[in-house]
Amino acid sequence: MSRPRTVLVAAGLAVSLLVSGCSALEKTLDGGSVAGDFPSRNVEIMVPAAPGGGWDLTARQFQHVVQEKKLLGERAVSVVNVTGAGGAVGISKLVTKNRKDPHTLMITGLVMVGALTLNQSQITVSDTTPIATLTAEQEVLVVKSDSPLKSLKDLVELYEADPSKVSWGGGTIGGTDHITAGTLVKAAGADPSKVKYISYSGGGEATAAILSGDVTVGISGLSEFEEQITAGKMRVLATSGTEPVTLNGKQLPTMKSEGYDAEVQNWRAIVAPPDVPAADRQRLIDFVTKVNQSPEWAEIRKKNGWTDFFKTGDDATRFIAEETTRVQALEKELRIL
Amino acid sequence: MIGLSVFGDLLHGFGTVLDPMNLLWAILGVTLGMLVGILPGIGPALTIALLLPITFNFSDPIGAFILFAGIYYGAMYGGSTTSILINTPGESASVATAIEGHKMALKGRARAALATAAIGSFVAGTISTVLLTFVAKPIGSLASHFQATDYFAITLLAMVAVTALVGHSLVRGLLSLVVGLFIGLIGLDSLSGAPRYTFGTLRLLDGIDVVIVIVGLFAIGETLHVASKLRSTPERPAVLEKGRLRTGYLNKSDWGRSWKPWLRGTALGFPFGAIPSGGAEVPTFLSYSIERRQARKKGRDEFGDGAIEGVAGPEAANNASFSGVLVPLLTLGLPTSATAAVMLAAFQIFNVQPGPQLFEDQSTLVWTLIASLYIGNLILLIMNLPLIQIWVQVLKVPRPLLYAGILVFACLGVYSLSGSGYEVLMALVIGVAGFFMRKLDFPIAPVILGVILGPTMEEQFRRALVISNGDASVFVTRPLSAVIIVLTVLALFVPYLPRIVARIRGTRPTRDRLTFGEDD
Repeated sequence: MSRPRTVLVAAGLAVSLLVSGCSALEKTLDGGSVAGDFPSRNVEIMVPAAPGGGWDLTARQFQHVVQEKKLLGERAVSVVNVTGAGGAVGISKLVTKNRKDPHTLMITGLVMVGALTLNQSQITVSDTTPIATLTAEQEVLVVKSDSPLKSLKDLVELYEADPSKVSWGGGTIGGTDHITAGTLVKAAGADPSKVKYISYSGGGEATAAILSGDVTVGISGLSEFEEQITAGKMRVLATSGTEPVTLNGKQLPTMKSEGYDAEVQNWRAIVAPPDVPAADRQRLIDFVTKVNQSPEWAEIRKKNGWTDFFKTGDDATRFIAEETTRVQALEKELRIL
Repeated sequence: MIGLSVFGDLLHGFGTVLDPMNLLWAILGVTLGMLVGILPGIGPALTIALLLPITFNFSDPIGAFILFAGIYYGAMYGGSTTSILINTPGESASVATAIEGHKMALKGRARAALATAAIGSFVAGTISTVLLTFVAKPIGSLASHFQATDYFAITLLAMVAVTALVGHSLVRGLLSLVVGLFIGLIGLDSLSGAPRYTFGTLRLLDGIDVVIVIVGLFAIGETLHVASKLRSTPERPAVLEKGRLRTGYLNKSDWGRSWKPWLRGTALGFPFGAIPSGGAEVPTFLSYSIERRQARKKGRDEFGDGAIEGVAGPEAANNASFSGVLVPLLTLGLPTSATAAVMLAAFQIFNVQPGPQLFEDQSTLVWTLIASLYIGNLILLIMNLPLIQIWVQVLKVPRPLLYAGILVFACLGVYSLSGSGYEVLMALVIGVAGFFMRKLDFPIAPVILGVILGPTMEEQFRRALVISNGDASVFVTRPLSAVIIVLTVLALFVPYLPRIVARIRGTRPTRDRLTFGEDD
């Protein structure tokens, strides 16, 4: 055999081996759907996003607690990242390939509800078997410290007078930050379709845009802006939850306390594939409850600034369905659908 | 007495980092980083994210940050190795290095190329760490003054300034650039949420990762290209030029030609790393262009045929950018690159909030981290110079084996990005395109430039317009933007001035123009 042909053959072999290897790997990961005693094999938690984000942290710290406390006995938990389209790739895999299998779980949250709605996906989070909502993070609306806007009322009044004067800076379009802006404007009785929303990738970019005075108001998770607020470079107009947050010994106003009937929680949940047998679903609920009640998980919540947002089974299912309807309606009003 | 207190703090930092355990983390970090830099597809951001949960068990966050910083630094060193030896950059910051570096390796000058990269990285890393030590605060506050219009102006300037990448034929170079801009458009439009060129598939909604484009065009494209012309090329590249470790594998003229590019690369890399949406890629391309221009001025145009300046400059630039990236990260809590974003998440997990108060609240942590950068640089230099002897052996591996191996690692790297075979197929398709680009003599680097700069430029342009309610005058009414745009216009027209003047005078235009076009 002459040299060039050897290369081509070798290259061809390498490619075909690799491609078949990948698909074989995917098959074993997907597994057969066995309706049996949970846990009859190792459990996999799918993170529908890249390593390093909020979902990934939730999954990996969840895994840590399960391993430390041996909550699944001999069985191990692994975390797998399936990236793409704000979680749409991950959920479509869970819904189509893992039916009935209680050993594949997925982390989800409000961000995914927003992304699926925006992508006009046929699949919604309600197509899964919700096990429990785990945590929630408060959103916060801030302005640069030298901004003339002193309170949430000032912001809303400015918007009502001329919506084009207010630019709202936050994360992905249709995500939690955008939803917060829409919810506030709607609660104030103004027109959400005029919201001038500038999306930034990641909190860092948004922070820079607020500090440079590029945007009028910034919205993100509280932890993103905490340092700037403490340093006096940003002023909090309101947080988005029901319970007021205390930062540096000062109680921060909420959208509700400022007189607007609006509430947004950036919640995260753990779900199983569709059609998981009722017995397995209950076992999963018990398992997740054990994690949630452990002091280790409480410590992790505290470390990350997450509040306890534990709802299980039917409560979780109902909550997720309500959120989906709300977000769908809101995204229509924001004119991004 | 600010200066004195900095020295005291830094000394204290050295004290902590020289603790055997911390030193071990530093060595582990830079070694891991080097490997990660060498493997195509796997970058420092992914590595740190995957190691993050392991470090939860660390009693002391300092060890974790020494490890992470080492990984970042090591990756910047490692990336150049594969670029030079086999023309397959492991990540985007090494693309510019591949252009001249691989040509040098083909001429038998692999040792000199690897050496100028390693020593240049050390010089740049050390100088920029000194800058980080003393001017972190003032530079950091600069970053928070840039608005969307300024970012747009900067990307515009960068785009115009790096025309040297275009290569031999202006038309071919621009076509390559357009292909890159097109790839950059694919995916969800970040401002309106509308999908573009996704053909209804979810997979394309996030766009095509630049790493996939790099691995496809370089690693896979190069493999196919080598395979196709194996019969007509000699079995091995030119005989390896001898070099001695004592002189750092560089001869006198190499040293003479390298030191200025090292310094210029540092001067570009550090500030670009420090501004949001700067990163490590743009300064490497800029450095390449500037070195090429400088070489031409001196009448020494070895560029395109393995010029050492084209390796020295970009390699210094990508290392300097790392310390630059740390400036806004530490002083403002602003991550300006993917790796920095993961590091920020790590800081928050350890309850350390980077930002204005960090230098006071966590003085030991910050100064130990900075001290670890000095040490990490030194370790990398000590490790890398002798390793050159081993790396160059790669060139002796029979090509069929070598390139089959590259193909496997390239595919694995891409698979690790997303855990799906789809991305691997995408890289293979791009690889076939890369093969034809090589065959038809289209330059590869402009594609990468388009993928990196295009989306930023568009995004900032539209952000600026949305904020101003569609008033385009914002680009010239803001002083900073206006100055940068004027510079851009100058950069575009000054090279043509002699011709224009000549034409006005009615004389025949000379062919002596300063720009790079058709017949370069």
